[in-house]
Amino acid sequence: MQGIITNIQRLSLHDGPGLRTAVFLKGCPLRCRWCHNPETQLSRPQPLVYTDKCLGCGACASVCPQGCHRMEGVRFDSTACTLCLQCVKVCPAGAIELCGEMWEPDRLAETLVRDKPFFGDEGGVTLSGGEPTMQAAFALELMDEVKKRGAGVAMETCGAFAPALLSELLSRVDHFLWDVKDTDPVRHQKNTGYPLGPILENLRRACSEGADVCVRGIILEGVNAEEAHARKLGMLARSVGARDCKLLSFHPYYSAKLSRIGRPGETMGQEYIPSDDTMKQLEQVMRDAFEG
Amino acid sequence: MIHFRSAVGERPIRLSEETRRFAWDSLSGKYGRELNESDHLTLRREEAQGLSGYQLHDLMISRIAREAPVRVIPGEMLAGSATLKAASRQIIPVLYEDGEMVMPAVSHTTLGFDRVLREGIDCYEERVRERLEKECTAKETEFLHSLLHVIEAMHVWHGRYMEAVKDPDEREALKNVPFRPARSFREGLQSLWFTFAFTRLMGNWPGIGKVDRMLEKLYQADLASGVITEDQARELLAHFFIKGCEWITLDVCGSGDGQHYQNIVLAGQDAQGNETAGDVTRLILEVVEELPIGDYPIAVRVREDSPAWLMELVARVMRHGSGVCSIYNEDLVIRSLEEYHYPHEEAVEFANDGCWEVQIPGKTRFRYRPMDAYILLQRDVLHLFDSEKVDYPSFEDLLNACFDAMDRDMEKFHSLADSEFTLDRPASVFALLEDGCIEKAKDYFGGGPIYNVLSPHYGGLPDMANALIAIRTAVYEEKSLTLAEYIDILRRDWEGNELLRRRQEALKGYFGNDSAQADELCGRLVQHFIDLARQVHMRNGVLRPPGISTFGRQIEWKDCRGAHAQGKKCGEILSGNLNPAPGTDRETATAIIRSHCSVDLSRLTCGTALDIKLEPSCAKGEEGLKGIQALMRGFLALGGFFMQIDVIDNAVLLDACEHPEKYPTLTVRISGWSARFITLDENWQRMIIERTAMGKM
Repeated sequence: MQGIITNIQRLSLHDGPGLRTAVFLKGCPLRCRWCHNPETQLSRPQPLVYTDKCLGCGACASVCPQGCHRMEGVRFDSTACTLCLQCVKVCPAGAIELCGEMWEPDRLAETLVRDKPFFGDEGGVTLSGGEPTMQAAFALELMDEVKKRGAGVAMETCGAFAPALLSELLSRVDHFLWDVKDTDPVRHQKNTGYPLGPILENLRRACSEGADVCVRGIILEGVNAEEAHARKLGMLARSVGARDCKLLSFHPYYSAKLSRIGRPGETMGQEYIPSDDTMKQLEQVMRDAFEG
Repeated sequence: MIHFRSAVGERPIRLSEETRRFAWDSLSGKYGRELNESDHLTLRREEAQGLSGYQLHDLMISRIAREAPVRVIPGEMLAGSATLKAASRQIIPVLYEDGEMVMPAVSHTTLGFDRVLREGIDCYEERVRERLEKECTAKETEFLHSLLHVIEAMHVWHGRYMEAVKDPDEREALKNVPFRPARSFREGLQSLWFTFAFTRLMGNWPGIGKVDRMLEKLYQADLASGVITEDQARELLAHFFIKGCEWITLDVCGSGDGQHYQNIVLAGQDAQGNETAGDVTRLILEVVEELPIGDYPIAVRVREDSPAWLMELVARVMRHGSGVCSIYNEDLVIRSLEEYHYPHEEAVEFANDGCWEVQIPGKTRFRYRPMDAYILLQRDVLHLFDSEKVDYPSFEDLLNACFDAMDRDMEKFHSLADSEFTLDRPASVFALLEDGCIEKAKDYFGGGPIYNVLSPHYGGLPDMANALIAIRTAVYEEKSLTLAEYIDILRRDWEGNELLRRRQEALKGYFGNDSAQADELCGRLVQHFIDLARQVHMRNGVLRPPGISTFGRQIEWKDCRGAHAQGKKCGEILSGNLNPAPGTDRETATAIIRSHCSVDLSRLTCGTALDIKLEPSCAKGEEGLKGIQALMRGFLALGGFFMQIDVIDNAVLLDACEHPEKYPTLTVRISGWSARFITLDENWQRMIIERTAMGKM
């Protein structure tokens, strides 16, 4: 069996407790407008264009059947891209990389636990993405292989997966980092293209069956930077019995990635970044609600 | 309110505002700049005529003690000051009228200050006089008398301070030391500072050693009897650190304004295996957590089961930046020293030469010889600088040619080491504080100390490995060009071959990425070097423990080296110490640590350093604190030797290049020392900016 990943991030401090190695699995059922890892949305390999390495030879433009590559203006527009990957093969400068590498679970686990001497008691491996459960069989086997090598497993999830999968996850995942994209069902559907209901149902079940869960919510100014949302998130985390909850601040760091995958126009700008004061205030509201 | 820069947020405040102001003034170069008024004393050539080396030496020492300006700063708690600026250039600060140096001074050894605290200088005088009563040659007699002249000079200088100091507490602490054993914590600290400042005033740059061990018992006794409080002890220690900044001038001077080899070593086990880290260790670390003082650089001896509070406190200091703290893997260092035939009770006492090269303090005459291993590949193996045709049918043939070149190079080193003692010249100030010199009646350079070391230090080994990998890939695996063609391209500095250069530069398997092939190759080169160094353990009285370093020499070497097979053009700065070359480390700090530690360092007795630079975002908050501790934990578990972590934002460094006036006290770790960033010249600034991995998390 093989799975497809976009990246391995060692020395990760924000993807679960302690020092961790995070692996990003490709494929996601959600289409969040602010997705920070847009290169993980598609399940298939795709080109990543680094214009700073480009020599301007035009090889990519001449080989692309869809006319996605240009030598001026927007250099790469993937709207019509069929993922034929011809451009990756012909680029002589290494400016077009393949995003999406195939790995066997055991070989990948071996690589992921390279930093075990740094993990200590708390750290370990985090499966992230995308949504790791999009490659459920691969993800489960990968977790087994990681555990076999003596490292703990955390999973970042949006919670959108088949309910039947939950028991398999519960027996393998030590920490869930559960991203609830919004507490308002209408906004959730609108901004992610996916209903909120099934996600919350999975969350409730996971917690009721003893999962260690940290509920996380992302805050965007002008979208959900509201006390009501922060309060609901805190109450949700409390009511389901989550261990902790956290707020994350939106930041358009990902705009460079959008350009590389040929979707430069979709970036949400600086105006969506909540101020530090807003974040502090909302964190307090959420914490009050969480702690009751 | 004084605000000290931190890479990650606010520093704790425990010290008084007066002490913090004193630190600010000192770090801003106030006292260092005062020295512009008193650079040196002058000697007329006719005064020197007909004098022997020792007579001339003693004349200068005596004159400095009598005539160097006395400086008493209002509010300071420790008396003594090295007030002649020429001493900060590592020369005896007495020059001929035309400005020519009369005699150089000494560095790269940690002196036995601990013994001065325990026994007092009077005891040294007795030992010298006793030795004079035994049989001596004329030369030995002259040397022993020189030691007495040094002690006499110390008395003169001490007397001048006793006259000048008016604060009753400061006078009380000074009157007994350093001539008699220290009876209290404050006397201990005063004794240490006064003796250190005296040796510095005479132009020497000694390392200081294990300050916490020297003071812990005195502190505990004072604390128990109510003579001192914890806060008072912390203030005193802060003054010790602030006084150590008295040579800071903020003048631009190549490698920065802090390279005086005045390293301090903390914590670690004693001969019985007990941890020595105590309250004084903690108080010292608290001082530098609050004040961004990187001189003295601190090296903390830790191991996998070091106390959790110590590891956390070291991480707390590290994350503020300024390159204050580094760590030794003491289990590995002690094992390595023992394996090199140092007795266990000596090995556990290890400190360094004031930088990071390991030695037994107070007993070692130390020098190292820097050598560029990488130039051997370029000059002797590939013949980049001549037109000789080379042909190595297989990669192993090429590698063996490298080994042969190293063999020849190290043979030359051993011959050179055989005649090490011909360097003999007066160094009585150093010799007084080195065990063995009085008993043998031999000076520091004449074989007096118990251990006499000339350590071969190779640099450029990671570059050699990288170049070999690049050649192996293109010539022996892909066979996309012949070795002769490759060499021809390098001789022309890649001209007309930009695409190939970029491809070779972009290869993923270079040293520093936890790549098995690069690590294995670099490991083979390192082991070959260690074997060659250790073919001769001691000959002609000289020990030759190997080390791997460049410190900053990769800067000067860049102009002697040709184009690089690993896709770099002539003039690029390559790897420092046993670090990845800038830009080739594409993974994170853990991968760098893995690569570095994949090399067996357990027989590299003199040591090597790993320099890690972390972005502030990786060091913030509780997560950052845990992250730094995790890096240290992994480093120890994987068998590292010495690691320095600096936390610094490249954007800040770039801004400091543009607007130096905004960053007078911004301090960065260089190698075994720290310096104000704005005092580094352009090449050194570039090296720091491009350094290792940026430790992305």
